[in-house]
Amino acid sequence: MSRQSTAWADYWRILWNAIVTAIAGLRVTVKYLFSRPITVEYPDVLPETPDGWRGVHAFEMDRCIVCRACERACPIQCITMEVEGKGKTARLLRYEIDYCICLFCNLCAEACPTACLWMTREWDLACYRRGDCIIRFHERNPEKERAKLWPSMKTLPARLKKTDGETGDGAAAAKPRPGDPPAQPTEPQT
Amino acid sequence: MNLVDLINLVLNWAAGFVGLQYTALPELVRTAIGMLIACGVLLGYVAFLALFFVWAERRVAGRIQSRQGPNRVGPQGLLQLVADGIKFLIKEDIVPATVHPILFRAAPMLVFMGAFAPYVVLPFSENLVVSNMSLGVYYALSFAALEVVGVIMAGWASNNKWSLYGGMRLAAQMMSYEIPMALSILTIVVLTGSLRLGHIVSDQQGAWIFSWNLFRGFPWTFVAAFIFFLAGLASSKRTPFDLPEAESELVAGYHTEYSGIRFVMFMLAEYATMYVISALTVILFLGGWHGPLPRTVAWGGTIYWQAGPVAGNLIGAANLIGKSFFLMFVMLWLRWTFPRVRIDQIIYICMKVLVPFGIVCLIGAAAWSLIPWSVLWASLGL
Repeated sequence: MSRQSTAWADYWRILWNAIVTAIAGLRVTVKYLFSRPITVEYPDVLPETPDGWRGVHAFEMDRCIVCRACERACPIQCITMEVEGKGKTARLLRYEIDYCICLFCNLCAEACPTACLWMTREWDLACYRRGDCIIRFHERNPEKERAKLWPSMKTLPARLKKTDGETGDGAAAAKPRPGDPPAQPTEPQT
Repeated sequence: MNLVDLINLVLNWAAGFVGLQYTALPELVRTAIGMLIACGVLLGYVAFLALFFVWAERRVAGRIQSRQGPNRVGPQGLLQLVADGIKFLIKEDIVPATVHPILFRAAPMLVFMGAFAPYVVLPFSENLVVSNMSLGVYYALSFAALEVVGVIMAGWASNNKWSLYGGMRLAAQMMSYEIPMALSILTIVVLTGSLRLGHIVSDQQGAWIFSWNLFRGFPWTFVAAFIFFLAGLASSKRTPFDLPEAESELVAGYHTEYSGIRFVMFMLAEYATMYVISALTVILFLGGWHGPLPRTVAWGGTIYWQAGPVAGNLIGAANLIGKSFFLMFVMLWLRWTFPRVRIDQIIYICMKVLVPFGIVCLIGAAAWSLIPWSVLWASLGL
């Protein structure tokens, strides 16, 4: 008798569970049906990257004090610098970042004493040749690029503006240490 | 007066314009012409339904999964299905070497015939029905069984183990689900006292939605409506019950070997069956062509607007189509909510839940039809 009544109770429990869970599932799906889809029509609508997104670098050559902190900070040596002269008279001839191997770890931007290197929200790096992945920042005109190439980078980040007056402070750190390997300029295959 | 007579009326009227005597043709020829045109109209409607609901299904699926769904071809992606249709039509018609040549070719036609035949008795409104035959419900149910034959035929003739599994699963599933389906229909038949679909609908005319069969025999028909819809879902092979074409287990079930236009016929049949189930649910339980507003006469007009026979029929058809489209949407919604059930769960649902509840509903409805409600209300002073 007790066994029978358990089966009887099980039957109703299963039936009740089926109805309740079915309604719960339908409520979930109808909620999604009437909410906005999270995907965007990519080529027409560009996805919005969140704050703190680490995309392609922006480099302001005029403010660079050639301290080579970024080059040293880079864990995989994707930054290539070619420098003429030493100390305060040093002149930057070449500044390249190879995005084939860049980790987007932000260590270079953190190391920069003058905040002339930072990471933008730009993410579209697709190209057809490997050489196109190497961005030669020394040839770039940042103002022009902000307007033309990097539409998401309309204004300078607040961090850069804040450190505007501190450009001279990093000069002491700009001295390359004796043990540093000389810059290895790579010939980009374009 | 039914759809064939209406078409003949229109033809007669049109022939008068060109100065021809339409009634000079023999009666048989006129009936045949009317039937052919009615058939064309219904076929066009079924094709439209399939196109529209394949699109709607993909859009609904997209939105439920937080995607956009197809929206690139034409406005809102509406032309996507036209493109797909053209693709299917110009595809090579492959008949594999080892299949049974005759049965393989006949199966999709038989399936589509079984799905299309019930449209003959579906009353879209008082007069927009091809044949308001006295055995309408019986006719619709028996043609649903033809679909089983076609699918088993497709499964066996394909000479493919997956196809055969699909066919056998469908046989097991559809045969068992015809029992609760028939029981729930009998609930309505007992209350109405007629197998004629037109009569079943006109019997639900009355005040607001409470004269619909769903609420009229409240506990019994209310449960029977769900039983009918679930059983119909199973017999139209929709997703919680789509074991015959379970694409993760069997490749595509019984239509694995089909491509091109033959595959389209299976697909058309699936959506046609879905619509038949939705429309039958509306006709049997949700008041058919009656709107939610009370109507004083069958199709003359309502107390809210006076409509002539033409407008009355059109309003009725709009009511029925709107309600059945809502049920179609519910089917899509169910499909993208629930995972596929196992075969033992399918049989459990049928034999241990739907059939006993259906029997209880049938007995309850029979008892309710014996109660003299008018006398009861009168004695209560209502």
